[in-house]
Amino acid sequence: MRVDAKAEGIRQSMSWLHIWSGLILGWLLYAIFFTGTLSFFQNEITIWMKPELHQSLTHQSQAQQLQTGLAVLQKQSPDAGSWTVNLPLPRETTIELNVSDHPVTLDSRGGRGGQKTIIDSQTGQEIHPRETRGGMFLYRFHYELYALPNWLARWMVGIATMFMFVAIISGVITHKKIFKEFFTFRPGKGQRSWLDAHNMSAVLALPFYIMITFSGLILFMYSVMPWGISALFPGGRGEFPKAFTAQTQADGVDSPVEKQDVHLSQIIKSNLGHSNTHGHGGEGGRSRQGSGGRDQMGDGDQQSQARGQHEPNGQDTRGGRNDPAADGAWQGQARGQDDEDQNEHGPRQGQDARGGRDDQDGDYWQVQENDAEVTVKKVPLTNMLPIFQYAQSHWKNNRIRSVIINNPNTADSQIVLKAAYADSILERDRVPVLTFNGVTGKLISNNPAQNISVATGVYNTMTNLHEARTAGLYLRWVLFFSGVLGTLMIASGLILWLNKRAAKNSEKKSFGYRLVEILNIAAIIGLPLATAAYFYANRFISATAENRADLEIKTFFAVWCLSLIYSAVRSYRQAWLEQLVVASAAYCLIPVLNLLTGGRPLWSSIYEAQWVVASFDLICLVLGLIFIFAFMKTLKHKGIIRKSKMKQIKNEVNGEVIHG
Amino acid sequence: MERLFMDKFLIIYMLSLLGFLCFSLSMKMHQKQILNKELMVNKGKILLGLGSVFLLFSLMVSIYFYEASLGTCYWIGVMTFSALTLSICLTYLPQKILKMILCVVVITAIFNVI
Repeated sequence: MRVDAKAEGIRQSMSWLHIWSGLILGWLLYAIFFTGTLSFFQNEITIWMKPELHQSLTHQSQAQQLQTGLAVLQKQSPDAGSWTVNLPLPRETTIELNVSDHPVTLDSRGGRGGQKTIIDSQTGQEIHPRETRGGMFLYRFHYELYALPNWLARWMVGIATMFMFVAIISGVITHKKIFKEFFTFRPGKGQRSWLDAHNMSAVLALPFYIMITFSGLILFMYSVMPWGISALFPGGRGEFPKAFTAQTQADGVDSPVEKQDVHLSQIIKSNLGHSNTHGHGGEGGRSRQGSGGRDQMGDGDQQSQARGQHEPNGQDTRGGRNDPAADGAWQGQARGQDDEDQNEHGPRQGQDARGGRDDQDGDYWQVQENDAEVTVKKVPLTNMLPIFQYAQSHWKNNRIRSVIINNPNTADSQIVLKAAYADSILERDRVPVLTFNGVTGKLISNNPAQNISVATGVYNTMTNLHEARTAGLYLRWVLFFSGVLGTLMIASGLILWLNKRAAKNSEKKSFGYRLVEILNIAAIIGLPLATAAYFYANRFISATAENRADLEIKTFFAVWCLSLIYSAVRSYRQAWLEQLVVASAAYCLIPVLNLLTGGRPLWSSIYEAQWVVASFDLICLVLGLIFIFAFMKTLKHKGIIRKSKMKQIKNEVNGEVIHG
Repeated sequence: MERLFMDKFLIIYMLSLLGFLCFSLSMKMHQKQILNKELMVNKGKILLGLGSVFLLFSLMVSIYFYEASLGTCYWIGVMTFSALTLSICLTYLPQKILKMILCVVVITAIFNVI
């Protein structure tokens, strides 16, 4: 209802909703969007903040990098339970090695929890980077904030996300000429220009905003809508992901399809039996689940059958190509190449391993297993090169992410190759994997494609896009720039709120108006300033200082608080101008800071094609230039014409008309 | 790798840019800005249809390059930037917009021929 008691149209009420849902949580949303957008490049930020990693260049082939990693592992821990070699992707500079006492299963996510070592991709020399939270701090801040209980922060961010979703929908309804003014921006017209800028940044990337907020809500569903899951799984919320994973596996074509499906059905059935007193409803629920399961199982059965027909003949189920591993020919070739390699590249890995074990008990050694001594025969690893080449040709455009070797140098050794990216954005936490026998080099398994239900597909697509998972560099850049547009949209909306009320508050500013002014400056320019301070602290705090990661974060918040205080004590215009100057200088000087404090200089990173470092410096330079442009615009801005002045001008004009 | 990325990006970008140019030319407000005259209603409708064809074609190319799920997402993202480019050009250089788009077409052709 309007103040004058007249009935409100849908557009007016939506406008009200849009303005206030946008304003109240606008500053928090801006912080979430700003840090979230930076998080698309959290790897780059982390690597920039660890200048020790800049020395490692990745000009070698992946096979050479693997050789470097394996040589180090053979030398340092030949008797480990498993080795993991994470090869550098285009967004990384170093090889990461992981040594564990136990074999790594595919579910255990590539050897986490073992002893991690970072080595130079070229020399194999161990690198000890400085302690920092890097891009991870910004990433976690965008959904967990900082120093707040986890549940509280997630609720706050969840509510803000919901407000954003409301603001997007109500904004679309409010926008009168969404198609007519699709390409329209009218600069130099005060409030009109800000409205155009807000509309344009909103409309052009609208699909991105809908995706990012909706997927944000989906990611928070366990936190903000726990009741359904809690009712269905009395054993605790942890049961749901297990059942969900079981269902996903059952959807696939692996042999235990029926078992897994029954497992999920049984869980739901038993839980409904416990919690649902409406027998009919429970029955309906069960039958739907069962039906879905049967359908999926049916597909699975077909594919299993297909696989069953193909595998004995050694035919690839995916491409229909002949599998060189199965007919033995490739194995022979592998051995042949192995011998050739021995001549070309000196001693084989296996020989290295033998050399490394000479201090032990000849060709055998004893290990403790379940309180019993088991004699393990030492067997050299097969030549990795043919395996590697097979994986590369099999995955075509995909890269090899990691090589896991379980029980290396034993008769039970197994080599697992994991691809870098999933085959489709519909898949989550599931990349192509090839498993080989570590001694013979024979292909053991090739994880087949899964059937993905519609609900799982929607969940996976949305969350993968939100987190830029499976996204190559090109999609990551697209998401990043859409995030930048989103940040500009929120900022322009916040400024527009002030502009609309500027004439009213020209003589005496109300408390609310002044508060919005201060918070706007502290958020819009204060946050980039604090982020710049975080980068500077990273380089100025000694690399060996204790708790240096905490000190970096404290610097971030200290500068943000200073920006808030400064905005409160200075006039609106001065606070903008002065903080813009500092931000411009801070970002423009980032490449210089990098050069002077041990990082790879910009010209060198461009020359060496180390884009992971160069892109950070370049983006900071661009940001600096944008702040200079904003400063120039603010400097030229003459301010809002006062209400009394406007009246005076109007009267003068009217007078001229009357007398004229 | 980077060259391939530019090839693919430029093709999708160029096609969606042409699509949005047709859309803008179908609007009276932008007809005056770009051509200094208003077009016949029929021509506007043809341009609208042509714009849709260009956009659909860019979607198909994106799907061809990156498969359906990733290609669709990428296409939506690239469309944002082609629309933004056009909006900026319409604001500051409306008279030179046709020449600029021609440049984009030539650059895309050069990248793909080389």
